[in-house]
Amino acid sequence: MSNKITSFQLCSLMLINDIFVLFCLGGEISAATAAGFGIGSLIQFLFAIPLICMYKKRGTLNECGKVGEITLLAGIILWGGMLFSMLTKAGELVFIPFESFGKRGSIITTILIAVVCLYIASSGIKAMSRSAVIAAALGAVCLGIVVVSAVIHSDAVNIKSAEFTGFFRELSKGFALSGGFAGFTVLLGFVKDNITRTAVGYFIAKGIISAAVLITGVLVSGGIMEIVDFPIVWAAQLTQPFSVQRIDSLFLIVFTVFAVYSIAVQASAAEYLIGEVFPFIKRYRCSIILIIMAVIGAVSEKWRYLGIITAVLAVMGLIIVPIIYFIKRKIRV
Amino acid sequence: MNKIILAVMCIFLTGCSTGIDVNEMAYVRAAAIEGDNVTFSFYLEEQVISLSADTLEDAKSAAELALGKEIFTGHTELVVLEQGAESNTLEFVLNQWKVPPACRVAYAENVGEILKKRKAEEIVGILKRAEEKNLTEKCDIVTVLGKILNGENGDLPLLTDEGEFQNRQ
Amino acid sequence: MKGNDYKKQRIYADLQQNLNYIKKITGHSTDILVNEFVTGGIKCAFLCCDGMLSSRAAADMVLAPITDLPKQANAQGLFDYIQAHMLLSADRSNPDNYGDLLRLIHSGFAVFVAEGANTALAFGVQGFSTRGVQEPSGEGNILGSHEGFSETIRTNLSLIRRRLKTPELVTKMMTKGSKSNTEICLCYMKDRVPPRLLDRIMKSLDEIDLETILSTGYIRPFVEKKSFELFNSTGLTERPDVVCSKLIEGRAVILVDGVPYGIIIPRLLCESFHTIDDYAHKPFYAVFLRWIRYGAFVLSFLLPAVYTAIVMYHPELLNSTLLMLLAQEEENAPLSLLTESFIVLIMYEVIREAGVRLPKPVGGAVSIISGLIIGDAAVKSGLVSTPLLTITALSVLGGLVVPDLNPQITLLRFAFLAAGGILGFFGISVLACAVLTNICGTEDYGFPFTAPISPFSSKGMGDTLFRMGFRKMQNRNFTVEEYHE
Repeated sequence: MSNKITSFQLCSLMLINDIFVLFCLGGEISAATAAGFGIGSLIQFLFAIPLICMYKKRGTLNECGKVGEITLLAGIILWGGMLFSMLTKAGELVFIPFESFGKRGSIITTILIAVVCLYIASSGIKAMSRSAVIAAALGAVCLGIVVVSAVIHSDAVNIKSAEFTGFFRELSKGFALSGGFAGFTVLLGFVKDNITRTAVGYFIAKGIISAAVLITGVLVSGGIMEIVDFPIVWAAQLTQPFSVQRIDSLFLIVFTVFAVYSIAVQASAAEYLIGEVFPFIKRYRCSIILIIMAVIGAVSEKWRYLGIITAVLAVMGLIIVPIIYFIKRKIRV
Repeated sequence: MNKIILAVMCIFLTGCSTGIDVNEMAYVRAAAIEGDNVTFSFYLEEQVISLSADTLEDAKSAAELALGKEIFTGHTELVVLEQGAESNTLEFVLNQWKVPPACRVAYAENVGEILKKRKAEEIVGILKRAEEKNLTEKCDIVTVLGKILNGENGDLPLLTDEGEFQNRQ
Repeated sequence: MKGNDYKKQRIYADLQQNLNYIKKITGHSTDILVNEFVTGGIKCAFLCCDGMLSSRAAADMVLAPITDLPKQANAQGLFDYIQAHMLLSADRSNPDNYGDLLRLIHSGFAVFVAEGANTALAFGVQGFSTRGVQEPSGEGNILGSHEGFSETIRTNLSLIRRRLKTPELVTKMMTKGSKSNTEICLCYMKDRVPPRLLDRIMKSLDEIDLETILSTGYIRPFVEKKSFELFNSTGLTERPDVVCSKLIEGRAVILVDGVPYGIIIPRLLCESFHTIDDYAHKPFYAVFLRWIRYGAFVLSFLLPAVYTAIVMYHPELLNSTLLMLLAQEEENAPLSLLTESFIVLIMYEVIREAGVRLPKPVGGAVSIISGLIIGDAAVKSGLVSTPLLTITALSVLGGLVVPDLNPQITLLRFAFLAAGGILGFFGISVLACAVLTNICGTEDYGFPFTAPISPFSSKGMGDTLFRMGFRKMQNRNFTVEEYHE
């Protein structure tokens, strides 16, 4: 793992993925969702501790054997497919100028996103992570504007209006959307800074940002939660400094950029793993991965439990990989 | 890599037909909805179009046909409903027509005629003043929809036949 | 004789054979002057290139002393006497092959050959006409120096030496171009420049195998990465004060004879927005100017695209009054907004190019044609709408604030316009991701082009987003090595 990235860059890459997932979060949300996601981040950090220990001891994924790598690879590819699927669904609400084309339009959108992700992933992890920092910074500014505007325009009554569905249900929802962990498991090995500080910083930021975004969504669209498909998207559309216009289109910029980087980071991590697991595939690794992801995204609606399978694979990869490493180490000793 | 860029450029070109020039659209200023009947008034076009259709989407299509231009509802300032109208009309208007969040909603006694008798911008001005003077509660579409969905029957401003604000207090 | 066969040929000892060979190589060129004479009892010849040397300096400093020498035993004795007892010029050379001999003659040296000697003596008495030190044409400023580089490499070196009177400043001269034998000079501060950077630059320069070096554009592709990068990772400057500031930061600079520009290695994106005036103004004003430049840069390539995207795909973003105004303005335009935008931008490029190429006396005609005919008449006839022309003008002005990046801005402007006009903000976002990645991936010699923004360096922000005062800056001891990855 010679290409090294900073902790800031890794956090940016992963947070972009997490926030994009929030954008695409469907169904009703409440204050419990915010609490669930926030505390869920803490629990996820606990799951990540063995992985952190592994990397601190200069362990590599290679030493964990093919089982761990294949689990991670499967998790990443499935998660990438889910991201494509989320993009298509949420993209219908956020205007992309192919809506009159129907199915053909979503295929063209997918191809365009895939091509750009191919270019970004092929440019190398350094280029991708540096540009992700800039994208994340701009996204943070936009989110900051949305949050501040929400505080001004919101109604505290909306917190009560949103239906409370139970804390543990929200916690499990947070876990179900944690497919990005497979990519995190791979990319943490590329970090040149302090691994512990990186992981702690990431999970804390994830918890705070997720909670803030979800609470904003509840405050703004809590009153009309019944009729909104994507509450965070709606919150961004309705929370704006100028009430006489709709700024959906500005939100489209952040949405698209985050979608591109979310998918590109998964493609990049998968490309690395394919090189480890199937070294005979020397060329077109990224293209193959993106095609598979796009196909999975297209057919994902038929697989009801795809989200759960992906999340399970990701968390398994997060836990199995360091366990295998420590077992092998103990055997060697 | 050059081939990829070329492919992307070709894909870009497929979108050529989706853009509409700004002067080829008619911008709805106000809409009055009474059951099957819908009346549109516009920013630039002088005429006020009334038609009947099964659904609001059909009504919009019929209006486009009558006008000869694509209709854009993203700048709608006012939606007038009959008293007792259901929330799904407002849901449709917010979700499908993508009206701005500041779009005002009001009831009227004679929905079909109101936009023909009074200019939409005057009615909007009247509602704004009424809100400022606390003669009515906030009547933007998001607030109104929120109240309706929460089971509160909002005291929407009521407009007379002549488009005047009727003070219920 | 074939191509470069003569270059390695040792100088003939027989004077006539020597002179005949030189005439043969030069094709009896009339500007190569050969004067035979006797001095010190030895038959000699004085060779020079007409117009390249200073006749007066040659006559006073070289010819007069050298034609009256005591008798010597042989040619070698004559040369030894001249070298030991006569300091005819500060720049002296002893070529022993025809390649070096002819290069020196063509460089304005006075060359002596003698009967029985298979070397020559060369004395630097150059006196060719040069442009002289003038104000830089491109990098204007108000409070800084008004001296710019000229075409003579040695004059340019003197401009740098005057500003950095330190022995740490090292200049390494070399010759590139098999036909042009152009002098290029690598300058660096030996206590600041990273040794690895120097080695890699030297290696890159060794790869140059061109026949001529006529501009910096011949050298830059060799010292930059081979892969496609939108922005150059090396900089160009016409200003000696800028060169000095870069040398102090541990960078290397390449000067090329015949070109009034220096190539700075490495270069960062943020430096395109720095001017020497920033360090002359108070920090608060300098910061304000820098942010104007950043904003202007972004506006220059995004404004036409954003305008087209909003008007064609996202009219809900505009205020209703503004929207109706635009709709009325576009009413008479016969072409779609995207086509109009392309045409206006292409017209601007044509006018700009005409303004650069046109002879100065006719230059005023360009302003009249572009302003009156194209601008005014096109709008009045309805071919082009006023808002679009305003947007294009603002975009163009923004680009002129950062002239260094003009080629890139032009390309990005068209690319984003196509993306925005065809796919709205979606297209702009997708293209922006690709462009951002390309910029962030630009890295030569281990220095990321987007440093210190990404990878982030808080220390670097002091002279990027802001301009800290000199009292703080003097303790920074910044060198570009800090950004090395």
